[in-house]
Amino acid sequence: MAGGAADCQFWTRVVAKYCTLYELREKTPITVAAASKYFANALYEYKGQGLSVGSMVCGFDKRGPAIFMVNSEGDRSQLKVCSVGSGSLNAYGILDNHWKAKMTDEEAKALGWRAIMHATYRDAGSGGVCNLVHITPDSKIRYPGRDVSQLYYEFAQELGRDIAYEPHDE
Amino acid sequence: MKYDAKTDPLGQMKAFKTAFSEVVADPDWKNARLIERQRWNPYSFEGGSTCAIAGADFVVLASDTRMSQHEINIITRDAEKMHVLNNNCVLATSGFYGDVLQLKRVLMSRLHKYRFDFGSEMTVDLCSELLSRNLYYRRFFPYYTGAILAGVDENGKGAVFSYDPIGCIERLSYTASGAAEPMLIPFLDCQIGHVTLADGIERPALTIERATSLIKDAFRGAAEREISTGDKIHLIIARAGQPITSTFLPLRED
Repeated sequence: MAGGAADCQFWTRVVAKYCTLYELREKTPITVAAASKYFANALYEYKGQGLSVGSMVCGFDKRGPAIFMVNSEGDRSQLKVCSVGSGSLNAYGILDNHWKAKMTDEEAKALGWRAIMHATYRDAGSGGVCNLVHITPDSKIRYPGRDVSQLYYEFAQELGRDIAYEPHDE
Repeated sequence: MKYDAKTDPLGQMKAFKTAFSEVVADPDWKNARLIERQRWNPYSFEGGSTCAIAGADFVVLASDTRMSQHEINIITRDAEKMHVLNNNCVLATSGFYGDVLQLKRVLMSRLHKYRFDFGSEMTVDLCSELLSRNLYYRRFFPYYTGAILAGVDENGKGAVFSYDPIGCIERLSYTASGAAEPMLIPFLDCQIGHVTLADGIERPALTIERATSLIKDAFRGAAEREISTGDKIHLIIARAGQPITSTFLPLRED
């Protein structure tokens, strides 16, 4: 989720309320497609009035894993690989390079962290702490936040060379 | 407008009138900024700053009490920007004073209704979500204030919630808002967040004495350099299990 912070916070609560009511009514958890459709329709009411929401609705429902990108322009599309926000182009650079159709959990998580690290490195609008959630058929595992500066140094070790710059006089 | 000066005096008059009204509406000497200023601005900025620090079982809030106009005229030295809503919640706001007051009235009204519906005082966790939603309800004509809500939560821990004008909520251990926010937050980052300290060094514990002392120093520093902050420090301390205390301390009046 990216864009106007207050818009994102408010509208996700509205969608969460709808999802809870759906589950109570239909006695089955809502699908990602339905939740993202409700979200997109709610945002479309306010199209052109200045809301700024760029989001990805992800989950594992009875149809399998799904990622839907929903934004305040009215866009809603199902994707296998997705990134939103000001640093999304940088993240896409990493994702498009290393993504494979069949990846293990560990590879996928490492790719996620790597993509976010590169996005925060080059984009002034991204930074702080990287959060990761691993959604499985039975559970959602939330990983503790990792400071992106620490993340940078961990990935930089792979380069094998000293990233510190020591100026010296010729 | 074309006209024939000799044979068409009426046309000449019409052309003159058209040219005259065009110049009155859009004169050369008026640039876009001046024309823009003619539109009435519903907001004004009364200045001031607020700050809050949360501890293990307490919160300390402070604000200045100066109300200024155009940053240069002091309207009053006793404007309260912090309001004790009930014995769990304290609201601190600064910015447009009309919205400061209205936000207090809206919350007091909702807390009053809660007391009637549920027979007890609303806790600060619930009030924080309520404030976030109320700020967002005015998404297209915002409350022009940086609101801070603080109190001791139902687990006995200090809670400080910081908001943007349209209701983005974040629970933090310290925050500041208002005119002197860019001066207060780095000071608190250094002294409470310890961002400048290396990892191994022992951090001093955040006792209520340290928090109170830090917040007073922060305001004294801000009043030195920020023109719309000054006159008095309004200090509110809420401790778990004790009534909320509210005191006024002197600050630079220049």
